[in-house]
Amino acid sequence: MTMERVNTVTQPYWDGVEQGKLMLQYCAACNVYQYYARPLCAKCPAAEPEWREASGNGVLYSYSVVYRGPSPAFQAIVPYVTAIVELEEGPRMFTNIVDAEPESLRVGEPVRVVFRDGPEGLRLPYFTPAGA
Amino acid sequence: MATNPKVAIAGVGEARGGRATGKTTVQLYAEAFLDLLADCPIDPASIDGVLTSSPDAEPHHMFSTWLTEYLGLRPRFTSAVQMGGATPHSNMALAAALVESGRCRAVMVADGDNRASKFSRQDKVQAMSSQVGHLSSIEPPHEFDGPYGPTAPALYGMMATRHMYEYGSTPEQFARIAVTFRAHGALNERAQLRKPVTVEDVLASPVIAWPLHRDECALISDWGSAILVTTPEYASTLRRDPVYLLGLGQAHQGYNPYQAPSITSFPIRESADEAFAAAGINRDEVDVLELYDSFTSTAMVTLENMGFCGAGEGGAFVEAGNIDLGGSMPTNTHGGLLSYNGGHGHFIVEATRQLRGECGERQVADAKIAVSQGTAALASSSITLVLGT
Repeated sequence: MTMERVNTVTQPYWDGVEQGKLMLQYCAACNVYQYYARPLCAKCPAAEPEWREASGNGVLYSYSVVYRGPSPAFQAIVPYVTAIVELEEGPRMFTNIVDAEPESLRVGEPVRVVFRDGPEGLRLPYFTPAGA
Repeated sequence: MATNPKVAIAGVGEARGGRATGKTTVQLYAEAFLDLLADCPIDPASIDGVLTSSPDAEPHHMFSTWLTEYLGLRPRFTSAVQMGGATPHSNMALAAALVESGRCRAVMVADGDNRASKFSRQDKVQAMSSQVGHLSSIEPPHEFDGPYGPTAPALYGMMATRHMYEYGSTPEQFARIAVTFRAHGALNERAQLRKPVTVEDVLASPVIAWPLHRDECALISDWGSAILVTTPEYASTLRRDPVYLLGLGQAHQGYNPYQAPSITSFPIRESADEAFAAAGINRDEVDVLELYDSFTSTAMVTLENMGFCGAGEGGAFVEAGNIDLGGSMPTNTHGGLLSYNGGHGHFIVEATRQLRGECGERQVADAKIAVSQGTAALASSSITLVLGT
């Protein structure tokens, strides 16, 4: 599913998701990548950071296994894993770990992006253990 | 110690809250206001500042102005603040600034919500999530986390998971915190949960968001609290034993957990250092600590970040009984969010009552310095209050 967004600064990110690409903003002045999309670099603050495709590789920074979901759509898929993934390029993002037994997960393990339709129908980047 | 405090607490009040009371939010505020008037004989016409929360369960446009109408107040300054669990602490800082500047003489810091009455059982995780503003939504401004089903217990669960990874802390150590706070609540007739629990009980309660169990999560409650902040001179005309604000500190680094440099180390340290320096005290002079314990992980990280023990030493610190009544740093003597009430203002109320020596079985003997630590946005916002006699 795609959705009409009023928040145009984030549109290249969502366009990337539709194409199976994880897009990050990059500030040439600071040589840093930024997640999530903003009209400025939050470090320097140069306007309009450029867009670059990320490798899709990262490590699992932390996670939690959710047994009580925040809505009927999520309650229907418990237990599911919320996670923070630290991308190879530096930024961390909030996501879910999919295609893995929660008991097998280890903080610090390599993970890799995959694209799926979520429980609410929206196509999203998720992560899965890189060895899987 | 600061020799000339410029701000005092002349009275405190609380609504009869806890489990679903069927009361509206403004009703709970009104009960707290009346309880405050019973504690401190101020003429309501003399209250010239009114600071409130922006309630979650029954939101209202320009809430603080509606509350002043509801209570019959006509202040020179009012605002409704949103700082999550640290809202009363944030309002204490604003009240102190208003009093110190002379803009106001008597500011009521009030807080209340009727989450237990308003949210059904099914809604409760959503209610807890709304405490930190993380909504399950695919639209801006939640488009980068909402689609992944975040809940408040999951975010604080990630904090615990990371702490275990970095320091080797154990589920038993986190559970020990819940055991202590329940033991304290057992001594408090107004606590929502009073049945003592063991580490085994806590770990046998249902997993809400692994590694956090139900007994490690904040209660969902109805509550109301009111605190009168004024000058020491005016306070001395209202009661013989005012409590003084000796120091305060604040630090804020953003909102989203995945944007924080660390989820085990927060600006709590800066905030606490600033407050202790302003009060002219060392950590070891603190007699009683009332800290925001939305989850056992919040309490663990806060104890470490405040410097009461080293990074990663929180587990051993709590297992040694340091945060128990009778320990080196008695903490959440009323039972906190895990046992007393899921509200926010009661930490400052309890700190005040401890300093006034009113706490009966849970009283810390000869308490002269009490610290109340508010955190919000995981713990990316921190506000520390040092109170004293």
